[in-house]
Order: sequence, then C-alpha cells, then structure tokens
Amino acid sequence: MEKQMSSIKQILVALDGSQSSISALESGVKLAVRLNAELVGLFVEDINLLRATQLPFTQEISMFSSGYRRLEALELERQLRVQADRVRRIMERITHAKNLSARFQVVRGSVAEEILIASKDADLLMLGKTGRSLPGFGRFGSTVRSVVVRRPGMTLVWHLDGAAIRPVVLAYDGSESAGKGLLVAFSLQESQDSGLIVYLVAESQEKGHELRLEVSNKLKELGGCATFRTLVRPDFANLTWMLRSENAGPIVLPCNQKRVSGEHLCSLLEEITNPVLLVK
Amino acid sequence: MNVRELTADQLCHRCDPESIPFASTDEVGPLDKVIGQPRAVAALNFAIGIDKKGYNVFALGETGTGKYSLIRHILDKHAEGEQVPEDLCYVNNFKEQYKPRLLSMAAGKGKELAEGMKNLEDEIRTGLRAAFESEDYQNRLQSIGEEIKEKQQEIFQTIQNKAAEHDMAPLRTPAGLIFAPVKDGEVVRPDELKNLSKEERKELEDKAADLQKEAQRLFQKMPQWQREINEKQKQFNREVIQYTISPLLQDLRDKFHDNNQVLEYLTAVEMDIIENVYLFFQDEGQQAALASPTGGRGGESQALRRYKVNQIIDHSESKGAPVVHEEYPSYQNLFGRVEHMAQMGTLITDFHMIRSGAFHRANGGYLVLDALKVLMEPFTWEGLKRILRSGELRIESLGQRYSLISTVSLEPEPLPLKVTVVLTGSPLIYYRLKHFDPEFGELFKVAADFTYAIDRNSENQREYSRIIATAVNNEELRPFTRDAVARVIEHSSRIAGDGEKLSMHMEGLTDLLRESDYLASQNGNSKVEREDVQQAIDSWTYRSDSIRERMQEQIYRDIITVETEGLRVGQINGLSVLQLGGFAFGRPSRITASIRIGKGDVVDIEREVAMGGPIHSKGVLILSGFLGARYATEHPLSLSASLVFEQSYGGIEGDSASSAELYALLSSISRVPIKQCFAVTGSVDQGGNVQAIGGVNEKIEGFFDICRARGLNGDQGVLIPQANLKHLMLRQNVIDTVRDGKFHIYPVRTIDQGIELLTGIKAGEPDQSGRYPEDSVNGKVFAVLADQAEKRLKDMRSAFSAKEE
Repeated sequence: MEKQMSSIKQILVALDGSQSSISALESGVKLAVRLNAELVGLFVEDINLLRATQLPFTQEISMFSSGYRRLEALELERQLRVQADRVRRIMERITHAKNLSARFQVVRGSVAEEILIASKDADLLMLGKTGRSLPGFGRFGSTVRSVVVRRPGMTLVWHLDGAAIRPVVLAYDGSESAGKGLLVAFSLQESQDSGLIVYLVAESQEKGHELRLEVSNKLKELGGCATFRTLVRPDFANLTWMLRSENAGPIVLPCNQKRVSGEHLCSLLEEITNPVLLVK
Repeated sequence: MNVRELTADQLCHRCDPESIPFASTDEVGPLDKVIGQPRAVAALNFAIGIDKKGYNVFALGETGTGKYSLIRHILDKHAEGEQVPEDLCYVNNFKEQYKPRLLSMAAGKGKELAEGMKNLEDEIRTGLRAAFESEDYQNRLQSIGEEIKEKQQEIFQTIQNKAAEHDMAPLRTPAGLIFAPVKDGEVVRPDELKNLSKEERKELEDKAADLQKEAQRLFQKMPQWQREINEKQKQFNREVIQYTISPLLQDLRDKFHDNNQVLEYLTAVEMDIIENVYLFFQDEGQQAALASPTGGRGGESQALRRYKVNQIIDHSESKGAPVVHEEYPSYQNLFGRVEHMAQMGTLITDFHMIRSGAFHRANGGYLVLDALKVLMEPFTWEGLKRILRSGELRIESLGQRYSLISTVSLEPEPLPLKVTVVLTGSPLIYYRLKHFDPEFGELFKVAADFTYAIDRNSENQREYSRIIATAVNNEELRPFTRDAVARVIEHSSRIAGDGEKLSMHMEGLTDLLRESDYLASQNGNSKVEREDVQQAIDSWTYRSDSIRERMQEQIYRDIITVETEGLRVGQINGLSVLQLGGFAFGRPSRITASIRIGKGDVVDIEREVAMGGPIHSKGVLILSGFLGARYATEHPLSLSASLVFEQSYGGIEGDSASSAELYALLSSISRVPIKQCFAVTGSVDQGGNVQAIGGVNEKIEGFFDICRARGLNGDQGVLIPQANLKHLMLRQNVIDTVRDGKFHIYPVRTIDQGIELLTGIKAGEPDQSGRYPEDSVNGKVFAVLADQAEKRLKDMRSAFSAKEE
C-alpha cells in the first residue's frame, strides 16, 4: 500500500499569482512533503495577451486609476516577467526550510495548452479554481474548464476556502479511480491532519455495506480510519447538499462515469464550493 | 519689716491621697470625656458643626499635650454619626482617553460595579463568540458580502456578454484589463485583421472603445459598492453586538438605576464595545505584545483592561465618616498620583494606574495632619492650600505641574472635595503661618488652642486621677495605688512649674507611668506604689543630670567661685535655670557690682559683650530707674555702676536676677556687706517691688545642692519672690532640711525686705522730708549718692571754670 501511495511522484501546481493558486500551492507543498513527491510550480505567459498587444486598438484599463492607455508588447512582457518573479518568490517562501524537491518553471503559450503539456509527466495537477478572473467572478474560468475536461490524470481544483482545515471527503464507488482516490484522500487528510469522510456511492444499501468493508480493509492497511456515509444513487444536488451540511474540506471525486465528465463535470464543479480532486 | 521664713509644709503642694476617688486604678473604667481642654474642644466642635469653606482647624499646642488623641477622640465620636461617603472609581473615558472619568456611588456600590464590569468582560466574550459563530450570523454576513459579488458578477457578465456579441473577450493583464477580438477561444492574429474591410475594422475599434469605457465606468463604481457593503456589514455587526450585550449590561443598569453617572458610563461602554469588539477576540500573542501597563498582569486582555473599573475608594466596610491621619504627608501621599510603567523604553500609563491619596480617603470626613511635616515636604503646603481654596482634588504629578517632564500623562477628572482638615502643630508654627502666609487665615479659620496646664482644683484633680487610671489601663500597666496616683499628680504640678496647675503633657505623664510600672516589677510589687513613682522620677533625673553634676562639681571644687558663707560687699549669689532638652536645673552664679562717680548709668557688662539678652538688659536698666526714683530726688544720680555675672560664659537672658543685681548694687554703694549664705532670685520693678520669676523650684534646689554638698551650716537659704509661693513643688530632701531648720526659704515682696535679710541691717523708711535714717542701708546709699553728686558737681564747676579761663 505504501508503494501505491508513493505512486504520486510529481505534483504540478499551476500558478498565476491569484490567491486561489497560492492557496493551492500551500496545500500542494504539504502534500508533496507528505508523499515525498517533487513539486513543480508552473507559470504560463499567456500568448493571447501578447498577441492582443499587437492589435492596433488594444488599450489597458487600470483597476486603480482612471483612463486607459495603449499597452505595448514590450511593456506587457516586462509585466509578465515581474509577475512570474513575484510568484517564484512566493513559492520560495512557502517551500523554504521544507524537506522538498521543488522547481519553478515559466513557459509561454496558450495557458490551458501549456498546463496540459507540462502536466503530462505530473501525477497530480493542482490549480486554483477562480484564477485571476474579473472582480466578483467566483466561477471557474475557461482555463480550468478546458484542463479538467481534457486532462486524463488526477487534477485537484483548489478553492480559496480549502485553506481551512476540514475533513477530506472521498466519493467511493468501488471503481479503480475510486481506489486511487482513496490513497490520495488518505494522504491529503494526513497532510492536513483533518480526518476522512467516505461517501459510499452505491446502488443499494447492501452494496454500500460491501464498499464500506472494502474501504475499511484498505484503510486498515494504511493504518487509518474514516467516517462513512452511504449515498444510494445520489445526484449532484444530493452530493453538494451533503458537502455543505458536513462543513467538509476537499472532496476526492472519481471520474469513471459519463456523468462525471465533460459539461456535467463542469456543472458539478460550479456547484461545489469545496476543493475537488478529480481522479481519472 | 519682718519676713517670715516658709515652713516645710509651704514648700510643696501635696496631693492628699484621700482626695483620689479610688483605691487603685483597676477600679476605674475608661474616661469617656475630654477634660482640661475646653477651649480646644469648643473650637473643634465649632469647626465640625459650621460646615463652611475655610473652617479648617489648626490645633496649636506643645508637643506631647495629647492633641492627636483628643482630636481623634472628638472626630471619631462625631464621625460615627455622620453619613458614610461615596465610593470612588476611575473609569475609561472613551472620548478622551487621557482624561479618565470619576464615578461616585453609594458606599459599597463601587465593589459591585468593579466586580460586575470584570465579569462582564467574560460574559460579553462568550456571548459575542456564540453570536458570531452562529449559523444565522454567518449566513447573514455572507449574504451581505455576496451582494457585492452578485452585483459585480452581473455587471461583468453583461460586459462579457456584450463583448461576446462582437466576438470580443475581456482579458486580465498583470496590471489591468484589455478587450480583444477572439476566435475559438484565441485572440485573433494581427494579420487576420488585415482581411477585414476598413469599415469592419473601424467598427471593431469602436466596439473595443465602447467596452473599455463601460468597463472603466464600472471599475470606478467598485470602491463605492465596497464601501456600501462594508457599511452594511458594520451596521449588521452593530445590531448583533448591541443585541448581545444589552441584556448583559441590563443587570448593572438595574443595580445603578438611580445613579445617572454610572448609567451614562454603561451607555458609553455599550457604544465603545460596538466600535472595538475586536478587542474581545485578540489572541494571546497580541495581548502579550500589547501588554497592560501594570506589572505582573501581562495576561490581562485588552478588553478587560479597557472596561475594568479602578476603584480607588471602597467604603463598603466603613461606619460613619472617615477620620484619616496621614503620618507621611508627602505630595503624592496626600493628593494621589498617576503611576507610570516603562515599556519598550517609553513611560506608559492608563486610568488603572491612578492611586488615591489621603484626601481621597478622607473626603466626606476629616483629615488630620502634622503641620510641620506638611511644611517640610516639598510643594505639599502649596498643594494643600490650592485644593482647599478650589474645593476640588486634582491628581497631577509635580513634573506635570511644573512642566519638568513632557511624558504623556493623565488628567483624571477632579474630585469635588468636602473634607475638614485638622493641622496639628506648635504655637510657634501657627503664629508664624498666621503672620507670614496671608492665605493661612482664610483657609484655617479655627484655632484649637491646647493648653499645656490646667488648674489644680479638686474637681480637675479628681478627673486627672481618672486620666491617669485610663492611661494605666490603656497601656496595660500594673494598677497604681492611691498614693502612687497622688505622687504622679504632684509630679505633674512640678512639670507644670506651678503647685496650682496640672501639666497636660500627656506624653511625659505616660512615660512616667510606664517607667513606674517597670520599676514596680523590678521591686516585685504587684501594684505600683508611691515609692515606685518616686524611684522613676529619681531615676529619670539621674539619667538626665550629668551636665548639672559636672557644673556643680566645678563649684564644689572652687573652679567656679560661689561663696556660701561669709560677708561680701557688692557680691551676691544669683540663681539661674538651665534647660537642656527636657531637663531643667538651677545654677548659682556670683553677681558683683562696682561703682564709681559717673553720670548715672548702670553698665550691664553682659550686654556690652553681647552675652546678655534684651530682657536681661531691660532688667538692668530698670535698676537705674529704681535708683533715680528713690535716691536722686534732691541731686542728680552721679554714679556709674557695672554689673556682671562672674564666670559666666554662656550668655544670660531673663530678668530673674535683677533683684539680686540691685542688692549687689546697693551693697556696693552703701559698702554694707551681703551674707553669702543666701542666694536670691526675683525680678524687680522701678518701685522696688520683687516680682515672680520662672523655675523657682529648680533655682532653690540648685543652691540647696551646693550648700548640702559643702555642708549645711544652718544659715543658708534662698530669697524668692512672694508671688512664687504658689509655684513651690520642691524636692523632698529640701523640704526635710527646711523642716530641720538647716535651710531657709524667704518669700520677699520688696527690695527693702530682701536687703534687710541679706545684710542684717534695717533698710530704713524715709521720714517726712524723704530722708532715710543714717544707719539704714537706704540712708547709707542716700549719703553716698549725695556725696558723689556733690563731688561730681564740683568737678564739673572746676572744669567749666578752666574752660572759661
């Protein structure tokens, strides 16, 4: 079982300087330390922004001063360098004095594409849910949407509130993804010392009992325990209501069914305000 | 002109033991009234009763006269029946932190308020925590926060939609926002724009410009939205806090419903908690960093410190008005102080560091202070007058008052003052203050004059015996027998220097009682007897009289010449008294007079060398008056005389030797010798009447000791003024010797009586023509002076003739 746990060798955290991504980084660092995994911080210089500066009418509006001004490519590049540098320093501060292998890399391109490319080798991708969206936009952006739909491995979509220590929830349906999810959920709760709640997603109560026995045995091997809830044929509404009433932390969600993919998955992520770890 | 020698019984005013109304002091209960100080008692009662500004008391009297005990007795008695003053508390002034507020409330209520406010802090914290952690509160607060988010979302969604209609999208740059045309989620390449017509490009540019303007307009509104939301959240918090704490404060409001000051304070507390609720939730680390100014209470929360009450006066246990005696009346001990604490190199303070002074404790009652101590403490006298004048007690440091330091300090709300101050001190201090300090009379209108002695009539003597009994009982001494008490009374008269008076020097009296008790214990007596008292007196005298002994030794050894037998012209034994600390003793001095022809002046050699005081000089000048009036009726006084205290090296003051000087002068003029077995005391007036002097007992005893040491020859004695008879309280051995006829004391009224005793020759009465018999002293004096006048006249004529020639 220890072997299975150590299958997460590399964690990639997508960083754009938003509070959400910094919070994801803090959590990623804890997890990497716990799993003895390598941590990679990725900053993408958005090619779309650079392209926009080449358009003759592009003007930048500042949030903190009146008027707008022409944004030149050179200046934008300088701004991006400064932003990347700031993110790098934050990462250095967070990883400082941790027994951790960490590196920071900057790439240029389409943000979602570059994240998908960089995360090919990563066992776990972490990214903030909201990114540097417009003021008041709590919903997740197009980058996250694109990544979660397209990425095949484990992706943890971090929410700002995830910084609070709350029990980790695992939706367990007995699938292979759910098995992987159990290991990660266990590690996650260990890194936060927050406890584990397992939602046994089953067709019937009897199936739920079986799943419970299965999870209990696996946890026994890991030296852990959990609180169990049985959800018989739950829909999204049931799941989100349960999460809110539990005052739960991150939820580990296996994505082996059709309804937990594509636009369904995006809708679910919109609804859930907890950090979500998608296990495919 | 016979003078009757005094009998032994006249030499001391005995106290008849049978006049003592008890056999032993243990039969007597405590004395519950004041005796012997009617004037002082009346003054104190007047000051207590009048209750007007400026009617403070100065109790003047010599040290040890029992001023404090009597004042305390009277004040305590009055205070018992007076109203207990209010408790005093300093609290935070939330509007002006450096001016703490003063709350006053009924006695005992201060503790209730302090306790209530202390408990309140914990109750409020618990109540607020419960409210803030409740789901309802969280939901409501979040929903207020969501308002702005929804508003923003709505607006930006509109922009985004507008942009999408024109295939454009808002993009975040590191420093702001841009709008760019997009195709399949990607910003169009610049070269793709080239394919557009001029109009299409213009339209695209216009759309981008419109979107930018719209976005800019919205950005500008955001701070205002945020402010509105903040205000809504604050208002909601206020409502929640007020709803939570109001019931908690209600209990205190009910308890203090009749005290507007406290009710106002509680309202201020409520308002302040609403604004500073965060203080209740600071974690321990913050509290340690913001440590309270008081040492040792670093763990106290900021909230507790802010709302806790500093009770400076607690009358919960008091009965009646306070009577406070401040032993150490320093500026701060009297008027209170604001303490400071050094923290991080800075002196800090707050209203909890206000400390009360004696005036705070005495407010509503009486404050007793020693005037000398007050005057000796820097700035205290000025401070005392200032607050008595203003009628309010303001706590301020000296540094603050005189602008010596610029540390930020507090200005606590002043306390309206209602206190009667009783200063105790000597008459000297009283009269000096009265003379030199113009404000003194305005502020201390009542003088309580304590007499040092009272009349020794039978009633007072009885009461005095009860004072003795009370002191014995208070001091827990052995009971004094009737005889012992009688001896104490006799000694009291001796201390007063008057057989018809009793000393009110209570300290000396108590000392004698204690010492007698000790000696009784040494003597194995269960009760103190007359002999024990006498032994205590003798023992005290022995301990004190080493200097007397040394001076007398010089006389015995003829180092200082004092003759006690034989006859001498122009020489007499005068008597003086030396006071060393509390011990007085008499010393004989040889006074000589010499004469020569002159213009009628008597030279006081002591004065010439600045060793004689003005009263002594006056006495000598009176002699010229006497000589002129009696002997120079027909011719001018034509002699010059010199008078001197032989072997006197310490200066002379007083006129008690003037009669002796006159005797010496008469002897010198008449050439009639004076018997050296006598010593003389008494002053004299211009008519030749001998007047009373002080220290008669010590003087007689001083000469007696010399005579006894040399061996009494049966002729020796002392001439005293008749007026001093009532003062006689002589030692037992003097009385016994007089009784045996070996020592004599003569009371004289006139110089003529005295000169007859001293010379054994008649003084002589003038006949109708004013001439004295030739063989009388006066006749001889008259003759010599007439002769000298003639000689002088002759000399003057010769000198005048020589000048004319």
